[in-house]
Amino acid sequence: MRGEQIYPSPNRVLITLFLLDAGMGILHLVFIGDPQWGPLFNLAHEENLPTWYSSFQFLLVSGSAGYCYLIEKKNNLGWLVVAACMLGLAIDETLQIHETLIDQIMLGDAGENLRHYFGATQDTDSLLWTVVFAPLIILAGTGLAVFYYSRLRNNRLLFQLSWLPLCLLALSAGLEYLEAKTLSSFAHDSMSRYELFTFIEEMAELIAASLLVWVHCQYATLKRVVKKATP
Amino acid sequence: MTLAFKNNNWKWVSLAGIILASFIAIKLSFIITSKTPKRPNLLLITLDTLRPDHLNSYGYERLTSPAITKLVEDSFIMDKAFTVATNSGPSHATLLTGLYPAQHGLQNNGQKIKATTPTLAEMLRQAGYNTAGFVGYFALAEESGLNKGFEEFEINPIASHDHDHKEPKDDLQGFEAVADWLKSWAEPAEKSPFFIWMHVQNIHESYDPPAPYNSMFEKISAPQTLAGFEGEFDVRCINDLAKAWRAEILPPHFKDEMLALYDGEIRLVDDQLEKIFNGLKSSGNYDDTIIVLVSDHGEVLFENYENKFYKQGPGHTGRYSDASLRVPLILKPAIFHGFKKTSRISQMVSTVDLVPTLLDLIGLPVTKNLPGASLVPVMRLPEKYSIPKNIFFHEKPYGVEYTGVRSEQWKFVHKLEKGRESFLLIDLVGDPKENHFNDSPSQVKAFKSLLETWKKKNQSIHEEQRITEEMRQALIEGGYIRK
Repeated sequence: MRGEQIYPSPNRVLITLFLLDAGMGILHLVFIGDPQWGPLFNLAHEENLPTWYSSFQFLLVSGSAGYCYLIEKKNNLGWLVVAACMLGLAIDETLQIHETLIDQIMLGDAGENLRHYFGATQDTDSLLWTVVFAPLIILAGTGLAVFYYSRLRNNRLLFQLSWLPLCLLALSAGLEYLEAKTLSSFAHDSMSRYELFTFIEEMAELIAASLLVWVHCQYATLKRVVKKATP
Repeated sequence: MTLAFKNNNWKWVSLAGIILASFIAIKLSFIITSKTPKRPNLLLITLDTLRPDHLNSYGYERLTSPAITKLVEDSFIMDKAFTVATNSGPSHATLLTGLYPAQHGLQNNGQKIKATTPTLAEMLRQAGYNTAGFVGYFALAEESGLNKGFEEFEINPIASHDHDHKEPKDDLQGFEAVADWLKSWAEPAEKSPFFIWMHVQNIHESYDPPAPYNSMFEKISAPQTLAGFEGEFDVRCINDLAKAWRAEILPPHFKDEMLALYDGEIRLVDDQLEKIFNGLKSSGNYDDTIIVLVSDHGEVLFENYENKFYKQGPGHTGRYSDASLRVPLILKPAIFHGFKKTSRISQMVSTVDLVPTLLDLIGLPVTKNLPGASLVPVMRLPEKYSIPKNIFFHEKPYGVEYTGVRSEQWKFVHKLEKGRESFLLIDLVGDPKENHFNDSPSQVKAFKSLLETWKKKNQSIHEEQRITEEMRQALIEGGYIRK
């Protein structure tokens, strides 16, 4: 309509993101054995296409949460916190902050103690971050779960679909720990298991981010409709 | 920000999250700040040419190894351990580097590991260990480069090849050197942990232990003439035995005598090891010491293979039946490793896994270039973890390149001699005595492809080496290479 701002349909956004997610998975599987192109598309590697895409996705999650903040007139600080968290994740994906942090922690006696306790080897230090940062992850997860409930509980579907990505992210963190255990145990045969875990873990992360973008966009759309209808 | 809870459940959810996070944070802080595990001592004993099926702990009935049986009570015992090479040099280099022969460069006796190849001794020395190596044969001496990282390195050759002019003490020098070193190490109150590599040559051919071991299990015949045999036949001489056996003129009782001599050598070694273990116990260091007992390869004795791909015994080099490839592997962890119980590991393991396992137990980083895997998780939870199902071997004895792979069911050996390829495929389930070629084209194709991939992944990092004339003569004298 003339003069009215045009917003992208949340469903179209979701379909586009899902297609891109699937594209990342397919590129990974097609090029996994290719020494030249494999590293560019490998979901387990850093500083390549899937990492940048994942970072971009979390930027979208952060932006959409920021947009929800702007749409809501009250009780909206939570959205800002979500936006900040997701922005942090986007930056972390590209700059590998948690990997650097965990490498530092694992350098000294603390690292030896952790490896000793969890039966891991130094090769897999960077994968143990989920264990070391577990308290933070649990607190953040609980906070997000409660926040989404507080905002979305009136719309059953939206509420349920806001928890699904949280579960997928939890699965992703759990799988990362399993990858560390797998790699620590057996370098030869475990590679196939490790690759399977990595694929599921990274795909879960991509799908979770896509779903969160949709949840935020859908919530913002509903809020806009309500605002428009309210005299 | 306010949260509009409809009921108290969500407060409980939040509370549960906070409590769980706090609990994990407290637990982690305990783990992180706990006293760093102390470094264990490491005693690596490599028993040259020892077959596992001649040890009581592997089911042998003749009493060859009571001290090793006692050690097994505190140890993990690997039922199906395999070597990566049937020659002492390449095999030991793998035991001390964790690399395959093509990677460490020592692919044939008389060669040397690459100067840049890191060794376990170097890693441990860097970690503050006192390191000492005691070897019993030239092929493992300084010329092999296997002394890298050892502060002290001794060669104590045994006299077994000289049947008539030797004193019993000549065969025991290596054991005494280790015992003396341990005594002097134990004296000061403040000391670094030790890493000792003790190579025991006694069991290697010729089988000729000193008294009383020479007649412990069987009365041995004096040298005598033998129908069809040129000259005097001496059962203690491996060349005589091999000649007579291959010419099919060896009377059966000589086989029994030879086995008795082989077992006598094992018993001699066992008695000497008992003294060393007791020394560690009396000095209070046994519990803090990882003890590894492994052999570099087995020995083909009187097995007769109908396939003519395998060379006949007695011997081991270039022989790839399980008699030669299978080795004993016994690993006693330190008490503070906290294993609730020790056990038999029935899955296949390779000697290439030993270095990562030891680094893991010691708490040092397992470097990324090591092709093997730590067995510690299997030792902790044997029912939960599985081990790689393919065991690879590769070496170049006598200038012939052998590459092979063994799974639970199959064995595939590829031979490359003067540009000519040949191979052997054995179905170990259908043909456990390894007599017949299996002609399954699909399996041959699959294993060829597997070996190619494996070779690419573990490709040579080392140029082919020539051995020195001095080393060549020493190896010929020892019966290691042909004239």
